[in-house]
Amino acid sequence: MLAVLERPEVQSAVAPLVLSLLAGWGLFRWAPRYAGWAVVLGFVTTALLVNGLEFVPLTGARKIMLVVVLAAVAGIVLDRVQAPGQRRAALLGLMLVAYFWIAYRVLANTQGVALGLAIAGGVLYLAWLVLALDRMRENSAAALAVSLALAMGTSIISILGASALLGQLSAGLAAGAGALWLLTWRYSDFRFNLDLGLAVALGTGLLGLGAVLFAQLPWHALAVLALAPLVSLLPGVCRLPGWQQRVAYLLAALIVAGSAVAWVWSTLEDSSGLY
Amino acid sequence: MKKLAVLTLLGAAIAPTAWAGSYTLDPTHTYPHFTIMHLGFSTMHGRFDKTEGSLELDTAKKTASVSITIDAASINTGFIKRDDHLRSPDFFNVAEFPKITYKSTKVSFNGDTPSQVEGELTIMNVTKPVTLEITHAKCGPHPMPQMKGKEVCGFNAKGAIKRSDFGIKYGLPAIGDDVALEFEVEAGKNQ
Repeated sequence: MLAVLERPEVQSAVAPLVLSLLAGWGLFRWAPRYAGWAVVLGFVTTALLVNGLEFVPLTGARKIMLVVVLAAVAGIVLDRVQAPGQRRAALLGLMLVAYFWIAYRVLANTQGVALGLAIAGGVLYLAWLVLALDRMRENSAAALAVSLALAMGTSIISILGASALLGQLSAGLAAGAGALWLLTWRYSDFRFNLDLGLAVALGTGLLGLGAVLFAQLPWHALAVLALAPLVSLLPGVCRLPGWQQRVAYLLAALIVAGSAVAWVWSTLEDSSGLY
Repeated sequence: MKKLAVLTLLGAAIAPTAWAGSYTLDPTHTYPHFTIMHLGFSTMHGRFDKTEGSLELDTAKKTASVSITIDAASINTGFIKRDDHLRSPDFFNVAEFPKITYKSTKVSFNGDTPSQVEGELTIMNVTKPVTLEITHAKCGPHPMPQMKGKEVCGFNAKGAIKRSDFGIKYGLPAIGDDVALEFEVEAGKNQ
């Protein structure tokens, strides 16, 4: 049994998918407002299987694990803030604190243009994701599809960027989002709340940035992935029947994520060879 | 009388000499090597290419201390993709923790020769005690003419750690937990 749980595909796909499906089913039945927490549970499942409960040394990846859970909690509170300006200011404040908490060690060792790019690129990427998913709360089908595509894309490009750990954590988010996406075929009245939005935005954003700052992922991969939220603007899709909307948004978002993956793959110096 | 003088000089040349002073590690002859089991198939060898540090030694008083700082990003296993992975958060996380350090806390002597170093190894801000056995030690004037007889001390030392003790757990147990360490160290006396 324990040997099975050490397999990466079980840690980052099978286990979080199954647990998220079960949790999501229960939440849709008894606490539909919190159905999005099935995604957080998927992420936590992967984090526990990959990392356990060890937080020493407190690496950037471990900080991201904490941030995703805290973001979901903060999202519940911020979801109730009606004034858009106040809510966005709070979201951006949280995003800045999370980014600099996670990246300060790297930023302290970076200079010149690279430092400017790390600060500006990181803040812009995170702010874009956070504000885009906040805005997409009115379009739950698009928001969930974008969340799934962002998590899947971040997972694959992180692995290609030479960090299996960051890739596995993002895969946990993707498994959770995939489970929720499947459940929305049964529970079509799903509402994408800010607890899920903030957890996904900070989770996928920080994991992608981690793959750039801590590993070898090129920035252009995130630039492509950042286009995923734009699929919510596709004309005509929101007038389609529910299941067609879900499929159309997901396909469009996956095309964007796939483009990021393809670009990274094509720029790898040597894709062959096991070590 | 002449014979006595020759014998005296000869005796001075072969008698044990006390070595004392402050030394700076020679980065071109100081490399921490490591070996680790790969998937149970073979033992993989690697090393860190960039080090710096210092050595204090007094063989007459039987005291010594050593401090080594290793550039974690200089890891070299002979394959760039693997080295990139070893630098990532899966292993040494060099972007966040660029330095590995070893500082001695006690050096034992066997006669005039250092034989064992007890010290603290810090990887990714996790510090653990690590003992190194000195398998070879030699001090003397550098034989190459361009070094002008500079006093040099060299050591080989061996030790072992478990990488999981330092929070490096990726790939366990397929990639071994036990890591054998071997240091080659040369240090030139400060002028």
